[in-house]
Amino acid sequence: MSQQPNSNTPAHAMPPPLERGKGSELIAIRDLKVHFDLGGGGFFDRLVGGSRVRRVVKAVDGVSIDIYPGETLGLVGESGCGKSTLGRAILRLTEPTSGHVLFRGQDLTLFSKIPAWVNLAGLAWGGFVWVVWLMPLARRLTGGLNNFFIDLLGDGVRAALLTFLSYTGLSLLFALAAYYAARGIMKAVARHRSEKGMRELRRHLQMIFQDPYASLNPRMTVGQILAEPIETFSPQRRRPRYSRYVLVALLAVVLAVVGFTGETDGVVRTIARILLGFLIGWLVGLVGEKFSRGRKDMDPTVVDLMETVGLSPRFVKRYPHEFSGGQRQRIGIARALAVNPDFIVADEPISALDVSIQAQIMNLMERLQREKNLTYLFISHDLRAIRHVSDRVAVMYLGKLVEIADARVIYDEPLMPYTKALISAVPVPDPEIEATRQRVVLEGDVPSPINPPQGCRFHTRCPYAIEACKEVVPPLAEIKPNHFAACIRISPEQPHIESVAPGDAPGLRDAQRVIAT
Amino acid sequence: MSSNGNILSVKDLKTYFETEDGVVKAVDGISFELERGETLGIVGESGSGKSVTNLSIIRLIPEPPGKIVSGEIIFDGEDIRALSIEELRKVRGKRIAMIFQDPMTSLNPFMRISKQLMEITVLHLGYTKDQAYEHAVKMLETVGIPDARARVNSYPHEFSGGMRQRVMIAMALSCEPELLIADEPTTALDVTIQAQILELIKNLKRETGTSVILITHDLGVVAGMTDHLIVMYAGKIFEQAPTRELFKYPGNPYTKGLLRSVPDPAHEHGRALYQIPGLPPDVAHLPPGCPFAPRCERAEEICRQEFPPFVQLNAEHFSLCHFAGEVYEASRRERDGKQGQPTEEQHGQV
Repeated sequence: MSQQPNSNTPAHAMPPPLERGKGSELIAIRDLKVHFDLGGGGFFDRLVGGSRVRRVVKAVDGVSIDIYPGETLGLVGESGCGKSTLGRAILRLTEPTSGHVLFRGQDLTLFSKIPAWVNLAGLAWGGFVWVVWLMPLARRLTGGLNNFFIDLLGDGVRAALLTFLSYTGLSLLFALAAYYAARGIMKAVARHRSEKGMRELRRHLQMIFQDPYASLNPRMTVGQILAEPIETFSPQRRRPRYSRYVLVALLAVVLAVVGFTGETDGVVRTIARILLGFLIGWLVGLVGEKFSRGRKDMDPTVVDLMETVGLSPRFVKRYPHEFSGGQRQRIGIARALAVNPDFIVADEPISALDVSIQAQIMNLMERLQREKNLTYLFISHDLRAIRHVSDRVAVMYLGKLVEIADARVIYDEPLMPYTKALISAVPVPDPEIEATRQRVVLEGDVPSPINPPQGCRFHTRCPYAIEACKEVVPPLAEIKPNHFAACIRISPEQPHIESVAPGDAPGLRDAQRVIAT
Repeated sequence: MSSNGNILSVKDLKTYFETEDGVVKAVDGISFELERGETLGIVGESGSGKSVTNLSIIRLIPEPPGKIVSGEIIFDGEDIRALSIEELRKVRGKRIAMIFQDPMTSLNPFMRISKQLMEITVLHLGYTKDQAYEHAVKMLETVGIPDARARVNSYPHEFSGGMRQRVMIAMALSCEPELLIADEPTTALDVTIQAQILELIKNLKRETGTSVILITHDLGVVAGMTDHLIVMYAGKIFEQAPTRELFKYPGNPYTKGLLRSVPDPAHEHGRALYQIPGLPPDVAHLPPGCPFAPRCERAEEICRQEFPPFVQLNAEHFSLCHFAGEVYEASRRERDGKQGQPTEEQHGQV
């Protein structure tokens, strides 16, 4: 067991190098982690009766996978397994704790990193401000204090000491304040710059949310909702800047002064008055345009979008509450499509809908994928839906991917015990199959993702678990061609866990051969 | 169906709601019978009236705005509608028990599980506190809560969703009811937990012989659980048949569409999914004629004008459709002709 990775060195101890992959992938996720620190375990927590141990929710814990252009990758798992968090982390709607997400080779996670120079620059600038400006200020202030102390205590050692102490204290305080202020400003600048880069990429990366009602602004009409992303990402459509209004207003004031109060020549005065007239007319036009919603609502792109997703363009001035759930989801899809994205994360897009509407939305998404060559990450807990829409399926359990394979393969021949149980738990809408088929019913619930089980995270519920499962984190290994599973009890030679001898763990021998697709 | 074997028979039940939009006929003239020991499934989309039907059975309809306008609800020979509130209380929870969709909102978060479980036996069976406590522990063990004695004094928030639903089932079964109504009991749960709960209901039913009404929108859930099936749409029963028969030979275009719009892991291989066009109807403003006509692929003029008849297709199979006979025959031909392969592949417009 000594050469095997033990419970303290997770399977991704050898993270796949960034250049791995076939080079054709659209999104490459490498060892992505999202941890939520709930605190606890500190001295103060002990004092006030908080948690004695530090509690960290490991929602996503080392996920590596590639997503290829034009495919639908289905992501399944039970609630709380981290599938939504993974989807959000890819788009950086939730900040990843560590790891990388590459979109066409560009590392999205780097956009959030505050570069190291920020601290140094903050230190330098803070020091400079302190020496040049704050030190004299502190001296001046303590000069006044010195007089006060002398008045109070008489000119002696005590007054001098107090003065010295207050000078030192004040000076240190100022130095710290200068450092933090400078670093804060630098950080804000750096973050703003990185956000700008990320925002540019968001044009290619969009999301469809589970609850279409909660993700649509109830005070905007459909036309406005759909026009917003278009305006955000196309400069020529951007609404006029307010600075322009201000400039025009200033010009108007100057003209008015010249035209009506100035001691100027009659001709100049007349020209100024005429110009002012034009200007006022133009301003009225500008303001009118801003407030006439009609013109923007009837944007041909918006009309196109609505027709694409099967909404009648005459609904353009309606508000989200006037639509049914399925129609709202269509609005959500149209909004994601508005910027012509390449990659869409669909987070449980059909879970809140009626059965007959679910089929409509799935078909719509498939049609759009064909027409616009979209790539989907389709997140759902509904295995039937996942199978229907996906090309490949990834199964997630407690923050880790446990199996990846083609959609058909994973349903017909799941390898990892959890996937087996998950797929057998889905009721089949056919009484005759239901009557005869064997169902694997798992014991118990999903363990808490706060301090999840050591070793294989599924070992607490796994009917095939052996002692080694509690210690070894199973690597996601290629058991069959393009079929990856994380289980030490199977191996490429013995892919079926039922036929593996009791207590044997053939995967252990290969545990070093960590492969992640 | 012999009437003496019936635990419940509902005749022409109508439950209406007065709203600003007008009268909403949530349940409009439905009749069905449930034999002792049988499981009945009620399937429908949201707003089809399936939950209102079952709230009507134990008279839990908020009144106003709701009202049971007419109909008979005969439970074990007694008309539920004629009972006084006092008499009704003796039936609710004791002889007819309910399990609701969301266990967290139906358990009192301020009360220990033990107390909530004891309440019902103290009230209905006259148990002493000690007896009730022992009974509560026993019930938790029955529904498979590990270490029941230690956990019986927990609060609901300390339990997971699946365990809370188990508590609800324990509570519902405490008085060994003759009829158990489960309203979407697994909708809020994960598939693996759903499998556990369904297995549990099945086993408990086998042991106690309780009759069950299972309400769900998931055709997969009812397929393995029920003997009879009712498909509801817009407050009406659209189809009623033994489960196997209904899945095999659906006699109503709506049922047919519903069955085909479910992606089926056992058969289907990446074809475009059949979809029912349009939206579920607004029950306050139903069209004249068949409420499904605007979405129906084989609707004809008569469907838009006349309300369809409730056609008897065979001894136990009924369908609400002008063309029930034709649809039924078509299903038989499809099923028996080409095994499992629907003849016309409808993709519909998106």
